[in-house]
Amino acid sequence: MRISLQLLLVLLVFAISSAYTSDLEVLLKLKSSMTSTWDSGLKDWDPSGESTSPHCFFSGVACDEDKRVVSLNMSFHNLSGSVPPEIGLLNKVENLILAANNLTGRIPAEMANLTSLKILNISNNMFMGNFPGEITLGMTQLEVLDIYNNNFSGLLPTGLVNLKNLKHLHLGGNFFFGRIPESYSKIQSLEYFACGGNELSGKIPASLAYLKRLKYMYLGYFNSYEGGIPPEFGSLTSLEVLDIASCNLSGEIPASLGHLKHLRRLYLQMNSLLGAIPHELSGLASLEHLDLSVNQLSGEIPGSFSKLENVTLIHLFKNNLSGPIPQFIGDLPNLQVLHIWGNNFTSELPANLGRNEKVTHLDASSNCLTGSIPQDLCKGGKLSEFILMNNFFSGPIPEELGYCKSLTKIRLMNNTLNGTIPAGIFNMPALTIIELTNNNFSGELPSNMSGNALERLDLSRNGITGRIPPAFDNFLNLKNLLLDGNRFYGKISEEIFRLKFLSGINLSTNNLSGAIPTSISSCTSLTSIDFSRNSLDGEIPSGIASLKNLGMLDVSQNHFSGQVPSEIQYMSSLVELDVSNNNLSGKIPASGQLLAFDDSSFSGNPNLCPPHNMSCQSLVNSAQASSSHGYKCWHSIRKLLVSIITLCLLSIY
Amino acid sequence: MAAASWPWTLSASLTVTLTVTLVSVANGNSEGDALYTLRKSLSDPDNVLQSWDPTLVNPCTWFHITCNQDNHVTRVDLGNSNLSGHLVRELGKLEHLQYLEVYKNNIQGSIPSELGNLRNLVSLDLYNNNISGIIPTSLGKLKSLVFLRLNGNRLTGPIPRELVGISSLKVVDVSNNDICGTIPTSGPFEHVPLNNDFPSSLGPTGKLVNQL
Repeated sequence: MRISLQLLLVLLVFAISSAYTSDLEVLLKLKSSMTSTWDSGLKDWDPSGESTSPHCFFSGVACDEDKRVVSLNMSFHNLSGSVPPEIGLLNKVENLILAANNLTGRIPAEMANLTSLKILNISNNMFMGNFPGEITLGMTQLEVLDIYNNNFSGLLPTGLVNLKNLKHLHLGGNFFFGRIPESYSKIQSLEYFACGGNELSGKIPASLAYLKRLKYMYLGYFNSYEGGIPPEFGSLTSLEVLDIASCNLSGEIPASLGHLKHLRRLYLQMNSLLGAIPHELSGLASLEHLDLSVNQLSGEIPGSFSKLENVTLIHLFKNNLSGPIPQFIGDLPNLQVLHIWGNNFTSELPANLGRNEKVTHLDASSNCLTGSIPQDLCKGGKLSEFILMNNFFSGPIPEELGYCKSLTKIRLMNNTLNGTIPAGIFNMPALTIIELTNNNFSGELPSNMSGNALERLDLSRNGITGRIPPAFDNFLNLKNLLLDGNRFYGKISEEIFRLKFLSGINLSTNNLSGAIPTSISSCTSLTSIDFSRNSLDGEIPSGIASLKNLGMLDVSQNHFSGQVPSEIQYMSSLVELDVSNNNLSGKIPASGQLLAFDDSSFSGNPNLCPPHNMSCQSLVNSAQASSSHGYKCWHSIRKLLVSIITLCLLSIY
Repeated sequence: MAAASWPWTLSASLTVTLTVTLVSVANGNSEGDALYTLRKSLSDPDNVLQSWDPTLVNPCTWFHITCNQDNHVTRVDLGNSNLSGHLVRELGKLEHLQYLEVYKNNIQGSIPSELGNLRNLVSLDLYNNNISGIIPTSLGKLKSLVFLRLNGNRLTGPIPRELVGISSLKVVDVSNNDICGTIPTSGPFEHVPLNNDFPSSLGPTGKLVNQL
């Protein structure tokens, strides 16, 4: 490519003037142009002092024997403004690192004079406009060009394709558009090529397959290519990482990728790839991470994948895969993460899954899996995520999992699991969520429970029985407690309301009896209370009005008696109230918040007079709390007597 | 900075984490995405939104969120949570939302008109914040609304006539704002007590007293 006359002139001028402007003066000019007044990062760039070439002792600066700057690292100094053209005078500089600042503006053409450059890193700034690839024409020694994460736009620069030593080219995280140039295949020295996170389009050039030294290729994210993965990529035999994720790829995964013997990471997720997973991919002998998730792949997991001895991570979630999960998955010696949720996998989990003592994350949710939970899942004591929801698993939770102290999440809802929940599950130091909703768990909860990490405990819709253990107050960070739809009996333990962060409690549809503990009024974090459908009795505590954030209160279908506390009218946060189908009595004040609820909130209480109901007002004496039929009888008789006496008195007159 | 939130880094675990993060972009859970958009536009010094993890398939295990059995969001309970920042129009996508409780915070900006799309909404509680702008007329579409409490903000403009068409309204409070114009007196407003004091610029007859 021809250098323009203008550029030549600029270079000439600088070649001449370099004799008159020392590197020291250039550095001071850089400092004054690019530092903000309050930044102290370059405080030591002080020209005074005894040394004849003080600049060689500036931080981030290194000189050669001739006191010329050969290395300049100004990263993380909060620099701003643009790079002044004087930078082109540092023609001996080999390493120029301006990364991680707030520099803006365009790249000065004078940088073309930096012909000694080996490393040019201007990443993580806000440079804009085209990237002038032609400034690299003279940089014959350039090995690293890193312009990642700026605001460059326009087409990808082609001025650099004749560089013979370029190993690392990072153009990612900008706003480049258009195609990846076919001419990039000329940069035969390239080992690392990244252009992800741009606005590139068009087909991925197959000619990139000529880059035989390429070890790392990142093309994905925010780009939107036409077509699919070039099958020619199977000849990139040095490739260790191939990342073409989230960039609109279509078509099938080429079987030829199976030739990439050194490939450690294959990331093709979040595209529109279809067809089957090629069994030839079993040739990826070095593979550690396989991510094909969020595509439209179909068919089964190839049996040949049993050869992938080095695989640690398998992401196949959100595809249309089917068939069984092959037994060899349980034999893979290094498997740590298995995320296969959101497919149509059938049959059982491999019985020996976890025996490799390395499994950390298992999510097989939303499939059609059956059978029991493998007992050795936590054999290595490393299992952290254990998620099998929305399947047809049966049998119990293996006792062994009660000793799995590494657990952070257990989510097994919507299966047909049974048996008693191992006691150890309620004594885990790192467990944040236990979600076992909608299964057939039975038995009782252990009386010893603890766990400072537990925030959500959902056991709803099972057959768990026994009393609600007081020890729930040991779950110091518990925010949601859902025990509805079980067979708990006995009282609601008052200890539960000591929890400082309890926000939602649902004990509905159980066999609980006794009164609501008055300690409920101190649990001011509560926003939602559901005690409906039990055999609770006593009165609704008036202290409930101290719950300033309570939005929902449902005590319907119980045996509550007495009055509805009139304090409820002041609970402005309460937007859902149901006290229906109890034995409440008295008149409900027609004021405040209580006006908002229609009769359905109060129905099914024969002696209760809702706020809007005019006809029952005269029948019920609101001044007296009454819970027994006999007492009400006396009230009616008293009223009758008063009426008779009044009538008599009137008739006398 | 450019659109640089993509994982090219060499770190394995970071790549894995970010891989999973970006699932939320593609997995189509619009309710979780809408709420996550809300999270990003709120300032949350007490970390009440810490559990709002967009990599989960739905927001039903997020704290302060309640779902129904079909995993649709029915309640958002963020009252008294020390939040600031502003509401987002994406809230209008929560089609099954019944209770939007964001009272007693420091929310600014205006009420998104898209809230009018929440046809199942029973309670809209935005009281005691720093919300400005007008009361959107689109709120007249909220045919299930029982509670409309916007008091204690900096709302301006009139009370929309359209609210008269909501027969379910039981509690309306727009006091302590800069509302102007007249208070409706028909439909639900016949017996709605309009709580607390009248807005300072309105007189007991409902007519504008001091035009600002």
